[in-house]
Amino acid sequence: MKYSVRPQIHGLTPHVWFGSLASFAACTPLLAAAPPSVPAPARGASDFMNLSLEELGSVKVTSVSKKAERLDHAPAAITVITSEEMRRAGVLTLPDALRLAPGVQVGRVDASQSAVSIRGFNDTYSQKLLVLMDGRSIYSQLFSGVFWQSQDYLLADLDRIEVVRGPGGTLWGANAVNGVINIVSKPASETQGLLLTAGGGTDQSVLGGVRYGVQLAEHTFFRLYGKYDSWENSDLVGGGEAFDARWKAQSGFRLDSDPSETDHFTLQGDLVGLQADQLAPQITLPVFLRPPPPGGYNSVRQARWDQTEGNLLGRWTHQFSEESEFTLQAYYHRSRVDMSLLDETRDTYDVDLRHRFQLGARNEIVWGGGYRLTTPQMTQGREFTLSRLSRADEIFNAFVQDELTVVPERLRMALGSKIEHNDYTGFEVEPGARLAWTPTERQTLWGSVARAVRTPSQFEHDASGRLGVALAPPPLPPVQVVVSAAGSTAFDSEVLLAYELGYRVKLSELIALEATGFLNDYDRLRSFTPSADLTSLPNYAGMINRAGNGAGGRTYGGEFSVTFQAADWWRLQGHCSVLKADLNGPVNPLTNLPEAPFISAPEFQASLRSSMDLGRQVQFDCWLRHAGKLSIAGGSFSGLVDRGAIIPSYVTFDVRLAWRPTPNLEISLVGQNLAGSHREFIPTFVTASITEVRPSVYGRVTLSF
Amino acid sequence: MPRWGPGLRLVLLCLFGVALARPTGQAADTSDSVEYKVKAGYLFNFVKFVEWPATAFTNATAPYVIGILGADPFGPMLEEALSQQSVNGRSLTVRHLNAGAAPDGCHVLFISRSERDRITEIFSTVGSRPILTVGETERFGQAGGMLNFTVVKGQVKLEANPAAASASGLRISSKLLAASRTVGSDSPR
Repeated sequence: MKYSVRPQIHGLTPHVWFGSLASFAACTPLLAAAPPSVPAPARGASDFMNLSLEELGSVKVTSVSKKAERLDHAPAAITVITSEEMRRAGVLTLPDALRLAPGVQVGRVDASQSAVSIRGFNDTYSQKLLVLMDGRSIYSQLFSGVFWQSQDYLLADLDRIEVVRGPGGTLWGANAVNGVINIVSKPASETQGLLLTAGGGTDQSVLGGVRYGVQLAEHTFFRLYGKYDSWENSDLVGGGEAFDARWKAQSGFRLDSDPSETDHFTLQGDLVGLQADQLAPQITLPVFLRPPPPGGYNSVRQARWDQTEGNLLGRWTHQFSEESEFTLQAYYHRSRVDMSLLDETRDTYDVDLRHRFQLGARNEIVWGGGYRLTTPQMTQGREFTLSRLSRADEIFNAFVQDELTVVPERLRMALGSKIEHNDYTGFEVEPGARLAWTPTERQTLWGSVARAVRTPSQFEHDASGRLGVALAPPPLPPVQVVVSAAGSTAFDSEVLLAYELGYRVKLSELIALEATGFLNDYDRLRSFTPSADLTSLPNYAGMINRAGNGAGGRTYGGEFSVTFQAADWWRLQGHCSVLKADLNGPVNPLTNLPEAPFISAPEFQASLRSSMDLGRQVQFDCWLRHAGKLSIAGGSFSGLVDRGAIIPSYVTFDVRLAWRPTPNLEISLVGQNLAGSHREFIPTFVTASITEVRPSVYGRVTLSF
Repeated sequence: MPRWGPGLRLVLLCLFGVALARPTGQAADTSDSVEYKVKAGYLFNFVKFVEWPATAFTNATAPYVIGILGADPFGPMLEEALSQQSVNGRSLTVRHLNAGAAPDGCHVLFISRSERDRITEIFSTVGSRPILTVGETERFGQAGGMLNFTVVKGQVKLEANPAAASASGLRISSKLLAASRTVGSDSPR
């Protein structure tokens, strides 16, 4: 029997040196060695004595603990959220799943929108975070962010979510500034058979999913899935029902084939449809001496967010030898979003190649390159307009990284850089260096210095939009002022220089600890400088907040996490994170005061999860979460000087009880946010209604054959 | 902290506190891991598929002795499973060796990952005695070890260095070699 062997240590580390090779994540041997979602039936060692050599070689041995052990040596702040953890936490959306990782800020805005960031600068379109789904970037170049409402998968078929805190630009390129989130689905071979899941609850009126996986040939597996969710209106702060109900339907497939021992092919695609009710801001422009309309100049109208997306991705991995592996990936993505303020249709074409090989005994080289073409077509909105309605933006990139073993199994170093060319700012360079010292098998001390950039979004470059109408405060004359925000063709990339230090230790087989500290030094951060526009007088005055790179400063803090296997039936996981900011910005000429950007993330967050197996059939999980007080820009742009809002801190908890009478049937009951209603987030720009998160309960039945 | 009312505290105490009051169950250890059960199965197969010279045994029914050098990742399950087996009329026993101990009388020497920095020393202690050296560390075979476990795509695979085995008078059967990837020593021993 022949098979390909990869050196084990090398199998893992390149993926975590600068974060895993995300665009190729599905074929990375280490992290892709997926823990089985359903534990194999317990077998004694005696059973293995009777297996043949071939049978022994085919037993899947990777377990969560094994994977965790390898992650122990990773010189990066990486957390892997497994499929099992998501299931046991009872989460229904990807943003909620991300709350399982330390250092991630998640704030629900309404029934469909969420704000997600790592190490601060949170917003609905958080700008400093790169997110990939099976190697496909889901970062929107329109807003520099992610439309989380349309990002979903049949959670049972997800393998894991890798959350890398800290910059990943050296391998991933632009916009992997504060972190990288890599969502990875299971290969089709691990999702065979029929899976049916159905449920509903107080917030989620319908939860339904179906998947069918089949073996097409000896080495070829296929799955087809569909899911449908609908969510009820949430509650407004101060009482009443918000107008934000939504439904989402999604379907897709994945084909995995190993035509030879050294080749692996993946072909996958998804179609998503989403509709969400929303209140869209509507601004009536003041006219001199005419009284304001009955509802005031700033009103809202009922509108609908309407989004459809489709993607098709192919990936080929070939092993030239055990020490040389090549991956080629290409995808096409099309999306159409009617945001009620703007309408965007975008096609994206992306090709990446990557080659990893061993050079001598000590060096492992990874190099590669990529090309992306994205062609947005916009329609002119009522409040928002773009100077260029259609674009064809190209990105070229090339990178190389050397992972050097200084002292075998003790000291490793990685050096590399990515060079990228984009149509907005030209060339960008993102070098990084990491060092990992593994004094014993059980502990790792690592440090890193890296540069990362966030390139301008189309919005920051081309857009201008009216945010609201306000009455000028004294000592100004009492005129109506139309406040707007505008991009600038001079807007340049934001730059981060990040320093990180981390320590991981396995105190025993039962307790593992991890601590990470960071200092992020930002330069050329986005600022908005107001200027007066008097061209519409005497009807009204205008104040335009134009994007510039006038802000900067530092953030610092750390994350701490602990996993404690209190008994073989009881696992406790806790994490907390601290984030402090010392940011500065240009002086606002209206107030004569400097205006620093908002970090928009709590200084302190904590989470404690308990997972208990009560006998073979019953699982009981509790999850306690705390987020500190939040100071954000929330909606303040529509005002003249009134900046910022405070969201109080909260403590809440979830409970899940699941019963598995047979291995292929699971009935679960989940209560979320049971401590009462609380607020989580207000987006910076478009804020029509402010909602709160209320307690909810849902039940679900999952059948698999 | 706001909203941390007495009601919430009570609920949390019930949720987490009940659990705290329960007795702690048995500690999970690595002997539960499938990986080491598979490796134990392999060790048994090695005995079947490797030929030792007659001089390696004191008599015709002397047992096969499997030495575990360093931190024992198998726990009691290896001994339990092997005690029920026999090969060529010989039973199997397990011997635990502390770091630095001489592997006298062993037929198989499993060198635990904990000894990875002492591999070369261990090989010089073993010398050319007919002892099948089995490892689980990277480049074990290239350093002169005979059989090495690697985990590839979540499965335990083998690397074999047949030249190192024959230098010690051991013969690895073709069946075992066929299930392994062959490696050679970096420098001739």
